[in-house]
Amino acid sequence: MGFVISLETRTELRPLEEAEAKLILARKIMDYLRSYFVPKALESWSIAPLESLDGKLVERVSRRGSDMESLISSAKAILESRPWEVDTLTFKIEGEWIIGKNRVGGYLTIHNKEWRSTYGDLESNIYPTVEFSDLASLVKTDKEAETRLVSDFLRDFPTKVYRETPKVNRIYFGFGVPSRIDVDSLVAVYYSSDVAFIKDCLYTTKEEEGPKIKESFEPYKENFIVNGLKQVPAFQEYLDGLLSKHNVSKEIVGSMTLHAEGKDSFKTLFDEISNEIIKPLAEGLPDKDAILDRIRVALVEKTTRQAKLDFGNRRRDRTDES
Amino acid sequence: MFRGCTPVFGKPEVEYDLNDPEQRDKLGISHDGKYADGYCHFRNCTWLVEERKGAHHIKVAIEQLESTVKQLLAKGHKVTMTIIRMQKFSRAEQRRFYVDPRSHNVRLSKKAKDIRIAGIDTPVKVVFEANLEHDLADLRENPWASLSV
Repeated sequence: MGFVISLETRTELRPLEEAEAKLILARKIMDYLRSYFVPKALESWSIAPLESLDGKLVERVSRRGSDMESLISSAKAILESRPWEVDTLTFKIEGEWIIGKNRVGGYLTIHNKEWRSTYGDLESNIYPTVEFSDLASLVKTDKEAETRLVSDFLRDFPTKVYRETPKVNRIYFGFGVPSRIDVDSLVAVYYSSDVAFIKDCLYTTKEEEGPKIKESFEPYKENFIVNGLKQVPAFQEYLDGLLSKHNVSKEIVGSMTLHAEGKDSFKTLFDEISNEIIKPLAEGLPDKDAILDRIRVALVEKTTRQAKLDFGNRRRDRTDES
Repeated sequence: MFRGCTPVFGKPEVEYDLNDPEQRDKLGISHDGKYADGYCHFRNCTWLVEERKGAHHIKVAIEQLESTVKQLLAKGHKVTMTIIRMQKFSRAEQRRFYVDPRSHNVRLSKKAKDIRIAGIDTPVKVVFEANLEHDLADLRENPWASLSV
């Protein structure tokens, strides 16, 4: 399990300001995690975060003593010296995760605009070892760390940075690469709004089930579907029932955090939401072809009526002329 | 536990378990976590670096291969092939990466370009656990496919 943070995308910020805001957020994450994650070096990459992915290493700086600020200052200096590259720069803070007696290499990456669609705006994980396949298995070795890094982080961190722009939209904790189309791999999640979870289930089902389901939902915006579901009496109660059935706890304070007790809780929860809500919805909604048919029928009626009217008018005009 | 390199071209003749710090020291590989799982030599002269992934994170796997290969080549060791053995891609990574079903080369989908690690002619290969025997048979039978794109 690693964590992935997604930020709001529609801001009034200019590209340089936005990139600097992400660095400030990364600094605050490191402050929050300072007992567990020790940053050691910063790598600045252009285009992509690896040479084999066509990336180019711009600079690597090692941390001097205990001064964490020097890493962020180096990144800011890179941004200011390469304003034409702001959108393509990725910053990778390499360090060590220290959980109990275990020390494992890891990273916190601030992705550029291109790579954020896969790995979020900020991503952190360990480099897997024989004992620990990802951050989850490492964190699970220490109860206090698990509480602090998962439950507390999801609940507290977004409120600590609430005044920052761009705002935190989602924080995913999960296996592999947790994302809005991988809901079934989650272990815990923070959403800035309470409808975002069901929206993510919709995205995941579309991705999982392929073209048929995608086509069924094509004429509809996700917000339309989700708001429609919210208006269904007792939908929220039904959803809450599913959450507790699958041992996923929920906290709502304006935003929403979900936390699974079991490793497969989100998978079984997602399967049920997908099978019981989303797929039946897809079958029940008029699909693209049905809507296009209605458009055609309406237009044919309208244009035929208009043609008849035009024909009648022309005949009347000719009679008047004669 | 590392259970040896995948027998891509039969049983390896030489094998290093890179999760063992002593074996990493022998090869001059650092202990920063960015190292692959195995380095081995087959009778057909292939020197292979292998990374195995339980969790689905191919970017990290490529990073571990890239870092290991760079260090091995810098110390004068030979590397002719790299391979990732994994369960499956996450859906998010499926949108970005693609594995050619014949050559097993992994590509960036948008560019349709094989991913290569500097200093090695053969692109990075991916084999999936669920299809392992079939994928390995492809690699044995179609070595020419390595050179595509």
